[in-house]
Amino acid sequence: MEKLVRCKDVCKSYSKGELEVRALIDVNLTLTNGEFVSICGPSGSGKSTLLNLVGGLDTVTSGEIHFDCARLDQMSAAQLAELRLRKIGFIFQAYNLIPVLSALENVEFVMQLQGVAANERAAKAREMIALVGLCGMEKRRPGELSGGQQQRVAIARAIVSHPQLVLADEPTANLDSKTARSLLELMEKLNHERKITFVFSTHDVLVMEFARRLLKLHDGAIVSDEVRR
Amino acid sequence: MNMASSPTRLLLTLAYRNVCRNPRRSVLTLGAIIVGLASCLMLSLLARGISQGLLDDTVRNLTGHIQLHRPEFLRDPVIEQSFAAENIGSYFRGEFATGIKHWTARVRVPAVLMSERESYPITFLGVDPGAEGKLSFFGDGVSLGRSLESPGDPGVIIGKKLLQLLQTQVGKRVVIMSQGTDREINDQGFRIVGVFDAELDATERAFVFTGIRTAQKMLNMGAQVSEIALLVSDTHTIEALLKNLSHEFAELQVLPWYEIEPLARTLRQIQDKFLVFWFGIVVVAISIGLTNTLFMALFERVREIGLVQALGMRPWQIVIEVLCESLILLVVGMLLANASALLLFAFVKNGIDLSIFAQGTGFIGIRSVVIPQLLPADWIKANLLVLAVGMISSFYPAWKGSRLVPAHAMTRG
Repeated sequence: MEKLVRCKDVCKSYSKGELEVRALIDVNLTLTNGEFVSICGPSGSGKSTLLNLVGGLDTVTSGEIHFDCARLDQMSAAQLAELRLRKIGFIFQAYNLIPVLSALENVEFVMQLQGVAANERAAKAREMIALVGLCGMEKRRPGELSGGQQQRVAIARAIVSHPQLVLADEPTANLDSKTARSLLELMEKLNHERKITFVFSTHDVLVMEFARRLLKLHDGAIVSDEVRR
Repeated sequence: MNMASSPTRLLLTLAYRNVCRNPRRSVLTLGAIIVGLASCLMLSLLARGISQGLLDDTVRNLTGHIQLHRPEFLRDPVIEQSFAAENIGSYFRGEFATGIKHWTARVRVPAVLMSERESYPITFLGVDPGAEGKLSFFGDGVSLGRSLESPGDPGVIIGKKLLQLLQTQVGKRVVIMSQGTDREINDQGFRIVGVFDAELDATERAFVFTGIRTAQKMLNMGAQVSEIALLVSDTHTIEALLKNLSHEFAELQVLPWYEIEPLARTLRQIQDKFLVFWFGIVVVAISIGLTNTLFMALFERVREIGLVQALGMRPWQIVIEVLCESLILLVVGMLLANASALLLFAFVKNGIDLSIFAQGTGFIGIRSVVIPQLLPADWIKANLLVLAVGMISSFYPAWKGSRLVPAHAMTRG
């Protein structure tokens, strides 16, 4: 399989006053196209930090991150933004949508930044809204949607422009189990049908059940890497 | 890529909705812009009106735009400083007529005027009533009696205040004493034929008019005059005319109004500087308010900025989006401020009555009724200044917003 992401000796430290917190320690990891990966571990183990680094949302303290032949750790803020816009979709645990835009506009957001024509953009966004089961709610603002509905909109936005990689940071944390399962089924389907690589960080056993590869982090280091099914 | 599909439309949409999402804050910011800019524009109306009034009064107060006289005349305006003017008229009717609206020659000497009860020092003026009327307040006519009818008119016109001080009246005789060209004190009896009103008491006290021929005869001057005063068609040509006239009449001193009346020029300069100073204060206040508003708005939206960064918005697009918010507030504020100031101008364009301050305004040479002047250049400058400084001061918060690290921004709040 083709390599999509490669982390080499990645370290990330934060300063908290005079104290230095080592969030990731010498992480080595390779992700290939079409994987459905779950990164699990206790709070503070470095799951979100790893996702942020792979997504170009933060910079490494040392080490290298290669994304599809490009070195993230050597890119400028503008280059990272361009990479995220073209190749990566994000689903966050909370505060996922832009409050001043409607559900449809939120889904269109990435395509609009990409310069996709209005008609094409609207058609694709409506198709995605329908795919995540939110027909009739296109004009609702995030404040008028439930937590589950907001996450569906976020999923639609993350996949609408066919990114190579979707990074989902605890996407089911605020959802009931029924909604969580339906969203995971949806993402699994998209993984199968569109060959989009999904990487989750989670505590949720349900998410781990769906994953075909399970990475365990503890105190900033990968302690196990299990390929399943 | 058309406009509808471009990110520009998205940035404008976000900017507009972000401005609308906190109406109270936006209204307060708009209020600051409106009050600040409208105060600048209104002050400009008033200041330019006062300034124009000051210039008009100075010019009409027997100064004209340009004067020609002997070099020592202003320092010592005695009869010895008079000069022959027979040929000068032909110059002004010839090539120099270009740019000259009106001109007149005068006799102007210090004198003493006596009634049967009082005597006062005055400036005695011999004028050609027809020409003088086009040039100075003499043309406003008289409030009592009649005006002078010809250069040889033997009567005198005095100011209302002087009439009161002399305790005399129209039709009565007064005596004027002044030194003639023979260095002897000449005196002559004159009948008061008219009384003039002026804006300032000082003017009514100072000047006494008679026909120029009458004055020349009394002072044994022949056809000599003390000064020539000109009005120009366009005040921007004064400098060029000064140069030409100085060259043509090398033996005379050619002075513009602002050198003859330096106080008037200084007052106008003070007003101009005050206007600039006020513009500066307002612009600084607006920029501080705007910067603060944008910082507050961004502080509340740090996580949202992190989100749009994560989704691929480039740093410069964040700068543009924030600047668009500022631009919306500035443009709406400017439109309302200009509309308010124009509305006020419509109400007061016929004059602002400052007569309750008449004593004070008169002391510094300002009329009691100010006609506001709308100078488009002032308004354009004030608007551009507010727009430019507003946008510049918005750049810092916008730039700060664009420099956030997405992962850090999304965990704040």
